[in-house]
Amino acid sequence: MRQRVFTALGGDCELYAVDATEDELARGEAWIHEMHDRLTRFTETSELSRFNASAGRWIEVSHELAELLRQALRAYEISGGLVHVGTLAGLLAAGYTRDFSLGSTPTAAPPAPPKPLPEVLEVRGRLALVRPGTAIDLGGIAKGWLADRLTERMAENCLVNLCGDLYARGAGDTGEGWPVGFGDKTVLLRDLGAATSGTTKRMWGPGLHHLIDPRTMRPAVTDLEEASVIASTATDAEIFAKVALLLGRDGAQTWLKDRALGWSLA
Amino acid sequence: MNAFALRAVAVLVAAGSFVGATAYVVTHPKDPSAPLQPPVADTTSQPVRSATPPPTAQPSGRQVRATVRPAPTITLQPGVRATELPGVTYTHTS
Repeated sequence: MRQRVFTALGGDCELYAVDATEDELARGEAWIHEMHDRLTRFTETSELSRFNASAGRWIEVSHELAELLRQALRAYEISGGLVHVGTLAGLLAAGYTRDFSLGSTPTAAPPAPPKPLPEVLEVRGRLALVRPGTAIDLGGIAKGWLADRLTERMAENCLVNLCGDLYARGAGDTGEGWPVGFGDKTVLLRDLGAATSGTTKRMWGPGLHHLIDPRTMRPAVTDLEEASVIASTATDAEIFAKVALLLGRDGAQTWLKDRALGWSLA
Repeated sequence: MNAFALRAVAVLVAAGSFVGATAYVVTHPKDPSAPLQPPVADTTSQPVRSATPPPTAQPSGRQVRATVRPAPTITLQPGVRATELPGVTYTHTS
């Protein structure tokens, strides 16, 4: 089994493959760096920043950004509005205005809750429109979606872990599935995704963390510190984990029961 | 006479050092500010899960879970099973 470890998307990324060459892993890493440069909100020249700056106008976006925006709308739909990529203003008001390694900035009063996402974001083919007053932060959805896509591109039997959001394709090197740490257990994943959402890692003060509740536009108040979910894709796992965290322990158990293939709540 | 004096001084210095070091050790059984031991292996190029994670300035989610938090509540639906195999990687918050 080959592996490749690198830093991108604000964290550690790992590629594993039973049936891929070093060149294929290197191309996978290069693709992630390219996507990072396109999708980051921390540079004014990224495709996402230019899209946000074009609010009010239909503009042509890349196939990848168009698909991610569609996934964002889908996430809003299946989460009942809890996963809302238009909460960037709340994140900025909470002090997360630049790369996390550079530290936080002073907090401001939270903005008003955002309008429903379908009212402020539209995608038609490769044309997309964001309404003035809304800015998009793709956050974890991008990591999950990129993990799903990279496994398709890379090999039949591989695992891609992008900062904790992962997809395991194929049976791994034992033929039983890819053994993956999940909560305090190890589970075997085959053609499945897993993701974790939490409030403790990117935390910069009491009650200040990166998970914004669209209902309040403040960092979420929840009795969970971390929710990990297994689903058919890493994208869905990421969406489900975020919903679980926002709902809290009791609500999460009920909500996940009919949707997820496994969950760990802490 | 000089030789005898030098020997006496040497004995006194040695005895003084012994007594002083012994007294220090007895009165300082543990020093919380002592430097940490260096890692026995470079784990940066091959991340592995560790039952006892090495100390860091800002623990990762998994390290916090392993050392501070109560055990998580885990539910696995049919189709996903646990294993005793070591994980090649793990899902974590970012």
